[in-house]
Amino acid sequence: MKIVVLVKQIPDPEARVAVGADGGPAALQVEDRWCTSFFDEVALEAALGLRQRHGGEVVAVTAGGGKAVDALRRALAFGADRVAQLDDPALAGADGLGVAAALAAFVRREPPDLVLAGRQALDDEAGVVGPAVAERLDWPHAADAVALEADPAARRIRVERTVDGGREVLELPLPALITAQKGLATPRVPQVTGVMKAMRAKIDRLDLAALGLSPADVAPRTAVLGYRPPPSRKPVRMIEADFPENVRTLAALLCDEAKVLG
Amino acid sequence: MTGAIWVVVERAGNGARRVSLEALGRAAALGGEPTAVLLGADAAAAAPALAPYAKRVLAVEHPALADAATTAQARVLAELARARAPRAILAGATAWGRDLLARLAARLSAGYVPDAVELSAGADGALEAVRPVLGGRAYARLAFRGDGPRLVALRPNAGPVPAPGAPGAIERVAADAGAAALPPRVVERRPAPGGPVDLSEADAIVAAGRGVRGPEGFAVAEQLAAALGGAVGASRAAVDAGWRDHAAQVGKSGRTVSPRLYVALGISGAVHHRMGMDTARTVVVINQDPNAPFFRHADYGLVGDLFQLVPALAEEIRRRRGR
Repeated sequence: MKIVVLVKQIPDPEARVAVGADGGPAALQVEDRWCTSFFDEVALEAALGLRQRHGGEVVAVTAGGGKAVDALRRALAFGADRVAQLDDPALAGADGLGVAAALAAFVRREPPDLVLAGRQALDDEAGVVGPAVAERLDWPHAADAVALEADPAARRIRVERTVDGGREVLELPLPALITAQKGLATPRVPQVTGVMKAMRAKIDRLDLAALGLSPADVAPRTAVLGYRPPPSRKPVRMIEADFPENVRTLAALLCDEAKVLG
Repeated sequence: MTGAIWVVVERAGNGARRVSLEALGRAAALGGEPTAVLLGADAAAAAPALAPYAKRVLAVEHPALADAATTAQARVLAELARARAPRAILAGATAWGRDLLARLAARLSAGYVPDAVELSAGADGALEAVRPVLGGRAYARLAFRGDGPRLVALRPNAGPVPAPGAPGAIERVAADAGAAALPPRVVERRPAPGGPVDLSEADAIVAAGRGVRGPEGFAVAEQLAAALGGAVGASRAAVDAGWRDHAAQVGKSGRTVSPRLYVALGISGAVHHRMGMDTARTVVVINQDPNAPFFRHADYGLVGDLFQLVPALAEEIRRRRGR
């Protein structure tokens, strides 16, 4: 099986975040700490598992410049066979749909049996790119997979996924796109030798022209007007009374002050 | 500003999920014509239940449009949207709604804001949406660019359910048969191990962590959730320890929830957990460690043995709610 995995380098979810006073589009300040999005690592690990079982090739791809390339080095350290960076000035301002257009163009050039991606990136938590790539390719997709059973000879794959209230098993013909939920695979801790080799690897870069796209194809359809800090909570009210009075007090506050027992 | 605002309705039994009704209320508040779009084999049969919340109900009847068939649903909706040019298309920011709108946005090349907590119209009628980013540590305000309908997935519990009014007109719409039988195909459905979990629309969530000491400890969370008419969630520690299915996990690598009441039992309150529940309206933290960081992010805090406190609290709440 040939598998393309979509990966993204994001600000570390525990990096410090501040919102500047002017509240404009440049007001978001994020500490300079980065990592590969967790669900993308789950997808990558699942791809490597499928390669081990069925043979084939795992290709990791990311869109963007700067730190984006580190997600590809991480993919190589995990054991990906090849990587590609889609890097173009026009992609710097792209939204999820623009990124999906570029990634779909890359997938079309390959083309693989399966595309795996994280269910959503942990920075914008949009969950747009996976399904949007599938739509651009006119492929079916299944989101939030927790188990996969591929049958490459019969050109189909069975996906167990989480849905609101339970689990669902879907069957899709290949090629298809699947997004990874926690539990699909446990991302490995790459070995130092792999990391060192990945640091030295030459990364293939493709611009929009190489993908057969123009800047208009990735033009953003949304624009950030500004940022504000999240609403702040009042200071906590600690209930100091002894049992069982403390429980009665809490229930009374929930009922009469917070009005959440209605 | 006029123009239809469509709400793609998520079905729940014979009715609609509450978030779909919230979205119809939002559509009316924006001054648009709220239009409920129903998909599926029995769309017309379900339409009367939606009519009091909408000016118009579009019932798109086709057996291939049910359930997980987002490929077919996006195709049919795109055709319909091209023909009728609504001002906006909304859905609930549930697993299904977000899957569908992402595909529809790509098909229409239309601007899409997933998981919005606010949606408003400027003086010129242009829509703006606000959504949390970076685990809720900043809120981004977004405008739309380009042509086509504006697509927005609204986070559940971000607005009221409107009062029913005079029923809107029901219109049956023929679906393009070419979309029939597109994959994926549903093979099987089953509840999550450990019982069904549906956190996305729950009014109240009782989440438990390491402090409940084992899978059996979740019994007190179940008890309180039952008294509140809510659902049970779990911290990453509890899920990683195998005490609960990960469908129940709240936080960075789990679910993002937005209930009216969130009760955390024996959860320390690490950043990765709070990222999943910071938009809850009221937060109660019960922990035996008075120094648990979660207390600093709560509305009410209670220190003590949760195996003593929680059953008593459940009893007290049952008494107050008269059940």
